Amino acid sequence: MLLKSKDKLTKLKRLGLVFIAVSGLTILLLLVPSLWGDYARILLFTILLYVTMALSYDVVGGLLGYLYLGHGLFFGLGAYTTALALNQSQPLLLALLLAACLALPAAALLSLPLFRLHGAVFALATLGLLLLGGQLTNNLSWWTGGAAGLSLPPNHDPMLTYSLSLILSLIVVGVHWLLCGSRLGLKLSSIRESEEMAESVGINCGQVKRLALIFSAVPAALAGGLHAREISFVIPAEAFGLENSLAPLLMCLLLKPGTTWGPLLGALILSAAQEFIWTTVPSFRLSLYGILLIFIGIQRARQS
Amino acid sequence: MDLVTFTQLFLSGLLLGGIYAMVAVGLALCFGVLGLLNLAHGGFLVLAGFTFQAIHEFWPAGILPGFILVPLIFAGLGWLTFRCLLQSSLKRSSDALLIPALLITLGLAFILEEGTLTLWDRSMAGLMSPFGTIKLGQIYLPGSRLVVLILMLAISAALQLWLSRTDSGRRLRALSQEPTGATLVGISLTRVTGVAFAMATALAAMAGLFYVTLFTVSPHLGLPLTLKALFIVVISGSGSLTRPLAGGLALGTLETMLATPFGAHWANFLSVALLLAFLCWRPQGLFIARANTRNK
Repeated sequence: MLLKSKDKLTKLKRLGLVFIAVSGLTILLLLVPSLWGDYARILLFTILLYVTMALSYDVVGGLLGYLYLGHGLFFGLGAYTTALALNQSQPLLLALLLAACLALPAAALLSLPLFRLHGAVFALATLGLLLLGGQLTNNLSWWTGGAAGLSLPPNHDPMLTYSLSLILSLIVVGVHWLLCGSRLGLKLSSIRESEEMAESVGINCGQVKRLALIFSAVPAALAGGLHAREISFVIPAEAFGLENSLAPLLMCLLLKPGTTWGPLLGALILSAAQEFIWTTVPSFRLSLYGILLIFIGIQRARQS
Repeated sequence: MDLVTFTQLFLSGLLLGGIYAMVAVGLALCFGVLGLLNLAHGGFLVLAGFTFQAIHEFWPAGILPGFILVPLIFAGLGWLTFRCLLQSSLKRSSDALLIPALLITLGLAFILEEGTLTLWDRSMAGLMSPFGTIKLGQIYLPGSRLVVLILMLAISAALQLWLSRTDSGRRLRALSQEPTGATLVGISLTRVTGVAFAMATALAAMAGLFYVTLFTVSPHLGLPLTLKALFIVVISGSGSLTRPLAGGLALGTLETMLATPFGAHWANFLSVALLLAFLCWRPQGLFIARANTRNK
């Protein structure tokens, strides 16, 4: 009895500590733009989006353990939905809500054919879907502006975008942390270890995988929407670019996929490295990804 | 669509299909023998196209030197790539190693793409055709396309002959059918797989030569092209070179036919969507079920 109440107390204390740390960090991050100006705001905004993308990628790529290359599809979907809604002079929050509402059924629908596939073929199919998404946006030029892209009305309130990205990344970190300890998270990990085994103990694999894709798609779409708002311009080659799939993949696989701290730290390290390398060696964008991919691949080959 | 247009389209489609077929055959060689889905294949193709053009500009003695040099260079490059990057992931052949190999070749594809962009600093490569146009009744056939089609068929036939008649071809087939047994009778896994990868890369280079002769090559072409060919390979299932060949020819023809009513950008979209639908419909490959029953 005594032990239990003590346990409860420490748990409360821990929760309190977490709460204080998070709110402290939030206030600090909110103060950054007024202290250090626009460069710091844009840099932090990018990092926060990367954190969102990496952690949402991790639900399918880490917890579920699939090699998933279609994360950029939902980023692009969110970006274009938001752009189109903003061009109809809708408020930003409504546009983002619309993006999330579109990403959810899209993920649920796409999961039906996609999760018939496994392993390498799944990876190829998701890569194919990403290319198809870009091509479709390109082709519907009367609606999306085609390959030339789409301009948005000017961004009058950059602080709003910034705070929204902060809130989004905090929610994603929290949800991911809760997910890791939840039944759903355990189901996902058990599917990663052995799908047959998971099925045989009564886990509805199809449903669990569909939920995973939804959990990963919605934050990606919101991140896409915020990015479109921030730079006030969308173009298929960038919104549906492979980099939007690869950066989260690398951030997730770099340290320890399937945990909250792994992709989080990976996102921080990689976005810092990108900022440093891309400002010093300009023609090294893709090669950085390439070298990291090869490195991770060789590492994985040694392990298995 | 009248008959002349149809024939004209069919022939152009066959040419595009010939290139797809060559790419798919190279990839099928990799997939069948090494169990490796090689995403860097198209990167090699593009690099070969650019190299060929550079050789052609530097040494204007016709296209023959390039046609001989480039496949040799790329065979060497492929062998080197295999030894440095991929060999470690193939020590134990199992399905689990498909994923690391996919990551490695995807990384390689990026490095090749950016390497090509940085080295040449331009986004297109193309050649003026040295051959004239042949007129058959109402049908026009560019001479270079005819030469390419004949060469492609010859190369595919040679590959088939090599696989079925020569000792090294037999070793390769033995290894792809029964890796353990083949190593037990003294076939060197590393050497044969290395040779297979080098050959596949040389095939990619040849496809690049033909591509740059027929159309124009851009560095961003590599990955989408590879993906289409890989879909064909997966749908055909492993253990055959004729099925990817036929699949490539069919896809090229279909794409050209679709391009007339819908436009090229929609044709491309439709062909990828069709391949994806096939893939999701029969993930294990269209022909696997029949092959299994035959084996029993």
